[in-house]
Amino acid sequence: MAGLTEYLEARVRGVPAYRPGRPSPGPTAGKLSSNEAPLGPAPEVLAALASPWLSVNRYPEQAAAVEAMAAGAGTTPEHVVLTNGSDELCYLVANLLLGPGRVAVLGDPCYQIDATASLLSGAELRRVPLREDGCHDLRAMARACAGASVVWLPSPHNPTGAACRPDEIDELLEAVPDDCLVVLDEAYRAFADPDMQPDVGRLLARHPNLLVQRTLSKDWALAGLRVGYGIAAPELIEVLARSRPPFSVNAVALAAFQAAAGNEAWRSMSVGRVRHERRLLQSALASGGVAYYPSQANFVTARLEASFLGPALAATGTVVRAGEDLGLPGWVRISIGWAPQMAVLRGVLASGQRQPGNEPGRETVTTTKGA
Amino acid sequence: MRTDALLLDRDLKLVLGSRDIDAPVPGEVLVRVAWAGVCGSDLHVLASGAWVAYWPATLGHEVAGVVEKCPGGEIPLGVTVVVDSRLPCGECPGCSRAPSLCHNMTWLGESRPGGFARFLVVPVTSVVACPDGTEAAIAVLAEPLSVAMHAVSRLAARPPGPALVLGYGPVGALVHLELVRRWPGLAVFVSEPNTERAELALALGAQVVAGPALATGDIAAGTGDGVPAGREFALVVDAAGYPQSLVAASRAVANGGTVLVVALSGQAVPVVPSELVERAISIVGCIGFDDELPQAVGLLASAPDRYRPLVTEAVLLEEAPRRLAEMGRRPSVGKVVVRPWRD
Repeated sequence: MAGLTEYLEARVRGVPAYRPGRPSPGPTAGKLSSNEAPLGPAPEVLAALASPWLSVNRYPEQAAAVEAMAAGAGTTPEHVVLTNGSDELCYLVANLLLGPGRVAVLGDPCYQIDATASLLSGAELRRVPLREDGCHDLRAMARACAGASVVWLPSPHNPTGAACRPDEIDELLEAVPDDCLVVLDEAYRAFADPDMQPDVGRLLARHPNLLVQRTLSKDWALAGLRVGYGIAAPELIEVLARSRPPFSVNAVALAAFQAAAGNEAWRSMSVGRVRHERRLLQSALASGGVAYYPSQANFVTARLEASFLGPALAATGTVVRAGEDLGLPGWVRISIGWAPQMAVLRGVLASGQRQPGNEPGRETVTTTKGA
Repeated sequence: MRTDALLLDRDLKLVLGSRDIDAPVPGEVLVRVAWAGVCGSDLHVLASGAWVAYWPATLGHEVAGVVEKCPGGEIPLGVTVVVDSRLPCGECPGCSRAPSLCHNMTWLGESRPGGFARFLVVPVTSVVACPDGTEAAIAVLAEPLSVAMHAVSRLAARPPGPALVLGYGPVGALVHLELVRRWPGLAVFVSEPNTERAELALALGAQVVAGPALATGDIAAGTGDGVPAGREFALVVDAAGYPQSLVAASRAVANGGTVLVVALSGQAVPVVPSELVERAISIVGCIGFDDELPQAVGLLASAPDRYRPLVTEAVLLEEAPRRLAEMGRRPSVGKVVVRPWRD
């Protein structure tokens, strides 16, 4: 037994434990720590989950959902693989392409699951510091790709919310060797400005070593049901599907997605609200002289000590994510929530700025195109 | 005691200030306001000064807050409550039939200081306690939801055909949700020129007609005045109140149908009695509510997510004067709520 324990400890050595965002001490609307959808899913989703036609005694049937997802992504079903949240895709990629002696390139700080999946495979991590504006340094990443097998590229990035410009992604793909897979994680794509959303159809047609990763946890508001998908060349999709457990996305999740897909207006409305509240929060941070990464996602990461914000927010039933959890000590990541919750948060920020001796750092606000 | 408050003076300038309020006596409660909703009638007062009986006024009659003092002990401290907006005289022939029919009705904010303030003192009989865990930012919809419930209650029965709602501001949206709550499966169409409001209607399950060209829904061709061509509606709700909207509603309603008027429009419109007779059209008005407030609180507490999308903007006390002043030319999508105090 001692041998087994030692072996297991060695396997996870250096792998950070995942710490989910803390729940709100009050109503769930106060949870601004996990980048969830504040309005929840479309009413049709709740109706579908209560439907007597939802058969849980049968194995899930994916074909219709894959077809709908492919159509929504402007492609065809052979280009799409469905996964149990987009995180499952990280593990599939790591299992297939990484391992001892192989190299994964990623930003620093990075999306934690990318690092975890890579480390568990035994691969070496080659970390490339982000630029000052929170964006990936794509030229440095391209240089780091020599001999690498995978590049993890979330855009908009978590934890900064900064997005790569489409022309920069083009340049990266041109520079990366053909035998290195680029995983473009678009979990937060829907919240980005239109000109910051790359034309993935065009990119996929030119680069068979590109895998686009999507999730239904954010703009689709299905985080609790765990649905994600990848888009890539059919040859890569076939391999990913073969290595994945056959029914990793369950029937309830599939029914929910199909119901959600029938109400595009709900998704569009929800995204519009998030973008509006994001503007208000960034404006409040800027007017208070608080540094933040201009965000293209459904959160804003600001240079505020959690110890400064935490108690005042807790009194209002609001919880945000401490940057220490995300590789950004001294910062907090604030998920965009429902309008009243965001007003409460602006009030706490304003109140903190009025307290003598309690002022957040007055620094130049970071700005980029598209902010 | 003094309270932070938004003050509207005779010059119709809305400013951030403070005012004295009397301490509550037995039979009254001191409510610490959590959220106060902005009603279309508030905007009318801001623009005109109408209905105000004291100056400077503190408007706001859609109020949710927490009981801070209750000298008579009728309600435990810390309980979330919504405040009844109505101040009927209680003595007139109308009051003898129903509060909403009072001949001398006044409203919170217009005849006494309202909810755009940190604190408010009202009779204990004018608050409804919310179930534990109710979000105040949801409960603040109780007053306008009561209005929508009362309006729908004015209908004798389920409309025998589809309904059309003209205008998808907060009242139009609440009437829509109430129609389909009461009569599941009722087809509700919405005519709304504002893109974001029309998108909200689509998202909440309505079919949008004669609206803007949305990317996310099928829009039928309209006649240009907000009324879709080629359909007969058993019920048309005038929640728009634009010039001639009642005329458009009367034209859209099917023979034997009902026009339910919930929008306040002061413009005279022609009525042709023979049309009412020959087409057997009913035109129904409504005002306020009677016993719906506790029911509305119950609905909001039990299904908050159903109503959550209707609160589309929240402003802090210091943000409120500017936003309220511009709402006439830059309307909100849904309900705007004010947090009328500073931390």
